[in-house]
Amino acid sequence: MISKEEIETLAKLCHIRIDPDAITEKLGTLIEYVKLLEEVDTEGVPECLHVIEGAKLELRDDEPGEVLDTFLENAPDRVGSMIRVPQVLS
Amino acid sequence: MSLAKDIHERFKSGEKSASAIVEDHLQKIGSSDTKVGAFLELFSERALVKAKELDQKRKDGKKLGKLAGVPVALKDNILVKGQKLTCASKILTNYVGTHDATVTRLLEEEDAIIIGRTNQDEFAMGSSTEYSAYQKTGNPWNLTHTPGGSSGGSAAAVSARMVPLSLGSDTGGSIRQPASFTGTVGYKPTYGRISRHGLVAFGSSLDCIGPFANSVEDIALCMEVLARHCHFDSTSLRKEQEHFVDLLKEGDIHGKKIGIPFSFLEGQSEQIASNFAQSIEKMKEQGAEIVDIDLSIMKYGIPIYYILATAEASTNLSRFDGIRYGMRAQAKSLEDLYDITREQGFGPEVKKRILLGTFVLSSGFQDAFYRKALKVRTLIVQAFKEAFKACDIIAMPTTPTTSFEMGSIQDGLSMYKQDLFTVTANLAGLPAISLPSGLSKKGLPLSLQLIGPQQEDARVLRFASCLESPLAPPPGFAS
Repeated sequence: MISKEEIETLAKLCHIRIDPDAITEKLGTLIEYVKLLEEVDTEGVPECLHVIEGAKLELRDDEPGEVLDTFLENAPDRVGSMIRVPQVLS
Repeated sequence: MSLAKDIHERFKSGEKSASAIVEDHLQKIGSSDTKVGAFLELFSERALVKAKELDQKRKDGKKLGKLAGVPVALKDNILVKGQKLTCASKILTNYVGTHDATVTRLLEEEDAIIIGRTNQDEFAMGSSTEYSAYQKTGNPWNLTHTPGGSSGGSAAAVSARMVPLSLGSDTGGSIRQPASFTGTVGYKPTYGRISRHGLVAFGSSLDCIGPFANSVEDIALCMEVLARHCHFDSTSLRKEQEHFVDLLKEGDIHGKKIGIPFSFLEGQSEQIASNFAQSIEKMKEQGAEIVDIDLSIMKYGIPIYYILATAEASTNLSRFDGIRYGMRAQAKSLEDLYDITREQGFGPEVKKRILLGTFVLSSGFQDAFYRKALKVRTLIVQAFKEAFKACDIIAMPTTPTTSFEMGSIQDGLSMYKQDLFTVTANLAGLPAISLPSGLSKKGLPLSLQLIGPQQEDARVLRFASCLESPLAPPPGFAS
């Protein structure tokens, strides 16, 4: 099972305000369930990083391409080409 | 008329204008969708403008695209420039697409007409479309039942003949399971075969865009348009364009081997088991040979999936922070802005999965959960590769149940077990299709799933095409 403190730590890590009591049992049940994997022998088995056989990570050359000029249009609070946020530095 | 191929022919021949086609479909949606609730928004104005342009294009004698005149619906997680998109979440209220998804562009290059966005489970997390933050979608076969999920809206729209084609996304079964529940054909291609550029990411190593249709030929037509390499998606397969419609006709299944994991399938409900047994007989009647294969490893599919998919989701959904787009909560500090926006903007299922994903990646647990799951994933990939040495295609039911009543599954884990037969195709990157295979005693659709080796999309479609008529009940639905 998972404790209230552990859930509070997780909530901090993923930045979601949450009431631990509301979720502790459900999350605990899920964690117990996925522990089923403990019974699988994975000695010497590599991690699956690319599911498609023969696939490699493809990187593009570091060259500028098209610039999306619409990316600021959805900003909730904008000043010119800057997005306004609460004060970060004191 | 509910086939893309037929609509396209009637448009090309001049029998019907694109404008009339779109108007007819909008009218049909107008009357059916108040009951079904498949669409979150219709792009009526845009569709009618496109239709008018297309009519002029035909009049001018210009070359027409493969989907010219065909209305298509998109799941609410596929971007259309200038149109709203929410992933059925409050956190993306009023978000407007800044660019077209690659699939949007490809559809429009072939003159398809995008008619609206469809309902889904929030951020594609769910198996019933009940987790949408906006509305419920009913199953056209029985409106008190779910259409499945997460692509329930796209499935229902095709099932109710509101559109001939729609797109969904499939991360653990979210195209195939709703296809199964709604008596439609739903296809998940090989991972990477269709570009994910412009698809809002859930589990990036698992997500696949795919079509819903009322025939395998329409699926093949859609695949011809969408299966291309994409410069913007680094996991996009470098594979040449395939003429899937022509490839459907290359040979039958006589003498071909169909692998079935009989021991894994033990213990299914009477309904599912007996329909599957009938499907096996029909496969034999078509000349196929049935081979028993060992896929006992599938029992670990759901735990692996709920570790890897939630881990990837916790990362992918960290971008929804109230800063650059979407909902922003009132807050005095930056920390609070993040925490409260995400508290208010995400539904309970999304929050639960982000927490689980954060847990399996967190220091002290990462080895035991996330890295362990990655290793077991390798075993799943290997098991399927081994199985395909003994057979040409694998068959099993798509889902452990037929469509269930809305509100009847409250327990999260029971909902996750809906994915029992579908997750492993995502984990192994395999192409898989759900085909209607009959009706239950209560008149709800049943289906068969076919799974092929990686990159053998043409093979899966060909098998599906050969079995389509022998398997299916007559078309139609109860409204």
